[in-house]
Amino acid sequence: MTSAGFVIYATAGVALIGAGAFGLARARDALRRIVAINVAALGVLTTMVALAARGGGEADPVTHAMVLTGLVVSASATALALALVRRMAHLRGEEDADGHDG
Amino acid sequence: MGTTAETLLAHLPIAIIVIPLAGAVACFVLPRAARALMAVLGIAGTVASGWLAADVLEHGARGYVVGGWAPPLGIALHADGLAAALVALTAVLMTVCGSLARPRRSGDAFFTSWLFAWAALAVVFLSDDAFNVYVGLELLGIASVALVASPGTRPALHAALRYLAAGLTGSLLYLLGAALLYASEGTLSFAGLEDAGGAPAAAALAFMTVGLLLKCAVFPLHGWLPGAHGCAPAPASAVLSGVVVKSGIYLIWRLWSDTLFGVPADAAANLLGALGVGALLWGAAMAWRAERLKIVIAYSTVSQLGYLVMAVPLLRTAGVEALAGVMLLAAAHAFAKAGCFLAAGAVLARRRSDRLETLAGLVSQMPIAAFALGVGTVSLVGLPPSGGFAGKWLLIQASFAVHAWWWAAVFIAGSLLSAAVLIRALAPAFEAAPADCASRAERAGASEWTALAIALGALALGPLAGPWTSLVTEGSIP
Amino acid sequence: MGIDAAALLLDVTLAATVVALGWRCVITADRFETVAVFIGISLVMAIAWTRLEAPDLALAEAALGAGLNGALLLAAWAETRGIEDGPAERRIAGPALLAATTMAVAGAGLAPLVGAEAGLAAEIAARLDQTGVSYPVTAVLVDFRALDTLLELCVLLAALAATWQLGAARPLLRGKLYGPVFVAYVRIALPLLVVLAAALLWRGATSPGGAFQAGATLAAAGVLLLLVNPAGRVPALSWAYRICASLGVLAFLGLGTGVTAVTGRFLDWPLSHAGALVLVAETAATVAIATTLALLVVGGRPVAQRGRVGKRH
Repeated sequence: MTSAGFVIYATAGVALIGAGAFGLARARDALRRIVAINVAALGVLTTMVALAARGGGEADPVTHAMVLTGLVVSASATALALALVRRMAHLRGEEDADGHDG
Repeated sequence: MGTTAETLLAHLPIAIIVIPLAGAVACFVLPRAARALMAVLGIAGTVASGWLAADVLEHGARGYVVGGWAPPLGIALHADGLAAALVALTAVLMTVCGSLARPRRSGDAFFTSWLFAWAALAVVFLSDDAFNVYVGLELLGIASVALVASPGTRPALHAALRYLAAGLTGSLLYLLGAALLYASEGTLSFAGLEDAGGAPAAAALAFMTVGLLLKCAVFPLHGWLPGAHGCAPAPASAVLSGVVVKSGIYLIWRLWSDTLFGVPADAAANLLGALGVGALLWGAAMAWRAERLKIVIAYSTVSQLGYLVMAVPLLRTAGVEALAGVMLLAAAHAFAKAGCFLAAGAVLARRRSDRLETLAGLVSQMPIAAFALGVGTVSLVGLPPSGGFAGKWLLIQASFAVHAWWWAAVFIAGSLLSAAVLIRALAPAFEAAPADCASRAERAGASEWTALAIALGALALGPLAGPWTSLVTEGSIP
Repeated sequence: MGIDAAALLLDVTLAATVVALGWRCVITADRFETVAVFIGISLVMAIAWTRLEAPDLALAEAALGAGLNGALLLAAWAETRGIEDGPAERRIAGPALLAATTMAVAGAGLAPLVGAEAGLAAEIAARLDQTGVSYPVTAVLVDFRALDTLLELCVLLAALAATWQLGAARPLLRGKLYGPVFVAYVRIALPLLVVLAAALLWRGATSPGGAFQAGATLAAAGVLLLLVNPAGRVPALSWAYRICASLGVLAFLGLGTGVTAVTGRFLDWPLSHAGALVLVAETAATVAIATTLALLVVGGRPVAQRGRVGKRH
């Protein structure tokens, strides 16, 4: 990977981090906040992959292991967050239904 | 016998992580036995942590290389006095508060999360590897969110979601910092990063610090804490405020005073100190306006965390004296806050409400709980002979030693603020009960006696400060 | 010269696409568009990572980021339709300042790193023969930094426990959601996915692949099965789920403690049996990851349905 390649992808990663930060600060509801955090996470991970590919030799395996672990960990946390969102929507639906009847 | 003990001793650092980890999985696989497993492992974990603390006090810091590969290729654990002290504190609080937990449903998932949180704390305190700490922080975050969400009500779920979003963002920032450090220095171990300097290390420090501030609710990134600690069941709030929140601050101490010496961060350290002052003031202001006892106690945590963050510039200049003082403060706060939350939980359980105006008659009807709250307040305010007083005294001495007398003024002002806030919150408890309520003292339950015992622990830390500070400063920064 | 220019053009296009999609994703006011564009970013990102010499990461990102995250986001969007729509967000200045500051600090930190050599690749390559595998990333995951992998499996389990605590599983989608084309597709795709997963696991020791990619593929197969099920019900095999989901952590803990007796260090695989131990650990991890991820998509504790299923959700 040439230096030009590293600069291109690292810039893309940083831009995505910015996008995620922007979206996170603006988001009003939970779903958009979660997506914004995931966009920022993609930015961080892309930056790391670009850093791993620097130089002329093999890509750095420790960084790759970090990215893989980071992917799995943030997927788990996102899954929990979305389960919470779904559960809250379900509870709200039940309350509204009760309010209707009662 | 000698060599068996020595072998066990050599493996203690990893055992302290593995014991609660194995327990968490066991609770998941054998849901019916969750309570029994929790009790057994609690005792085992506490014994192991106490043994490690005693050993470190006598023989100095102990290391452990996991997997046979030394850093930078592998991961090492490093148990110095500070880590061993925090691990022991975690074990005691986790065991005691865990025995009081009465999850109304999904008990297996509750104890699984509880033990995962314990194991994750052990990883954060003991691990010498920046990325290993990241995974530990994520595990801690998910387990803590599960504890906050356990009541299952809409406010609890809402608070849990806010906590999770803040935690995820914080971890992400921390990860970015760790990646920058590795890319620049070629190692992830804190010991190996001591010489790190330059723009990448400075940016990494900035990202990691902001991420950790977000994760441990330091002003102005504290928005998620009052809801989370206020809605969680009382034993969970006790450990969340007592130890979980301190894990991030511990990492900030490490990053700012124990490694990354190449980064010229003195000015930024004073900025952190200013944030600490902000936390102190803002937490007090919001606690003044709160209407529920648990929310007052949660905002008091926001406020007290300010002291721990204010210690960062002092740690950089005054070193060991400041470390002793701030750890006394941290331990005293852990015990006092746990006692307060458990007592508030008992009040909530007995009276169905913890709104401040309904506290009338508490002293005559639930004297043990009221006493626990009072003892906790003494330590939080910092009156002698409590641990809170001893900690602040040491910190004031340290700040005079480096000619930074303004910190002393802040500590004293903070005590006055805490006193005002907590006395205002607890004053209704001393009023006579409304005429239509019974004013006989009701029989105190286990949670109230435990609350009192823990709160008295905060008081006992004053006279017992000597051994604690010797442990904490063993093998630490010079 | 021509190939270099073409490669550069490809990289610039990929990077620009990803950035454009990312900003579109956070700026748009339509919640469905946010989710759909995010799935798009994940897929393009997988291609970009292949360009960055990270094929196994691209595999994992495509399966986890686009596949599982995408399924979860769509399910959450479906359940929150109409509830969360509020006034459109108008603030620009504050968030823009935050984004600009973050990007500036990140850029400042990254600038000195251009052109430097990447980290420990050479050291790890030199020591590969002391591990049981010959692919560096697998070696790092299961040998050099096995504690990270153990904790990561615990994170998955903790997320599952937390999700189960929230309540019983509810159907992902309402009504009949499959037609003959979909069923035919699943009939073909399911065995292919299982074989692919086994291949990824087996080849992980010598080439891109490994437990995480295999597990994510199997989880995708599980989600397909779930969608084909009428009313999206999951059989309540509580014990099976508990044991399968914990298998990874149990294997790492058990094997790690066992080898302590032999080599004296936790998770220090003895050289003579390292290959076999790594394979056992990775297989257990694959089963655990597949079960956990599939159950996370289900989003609740699978309980036996009593009474009529037809009209109630």
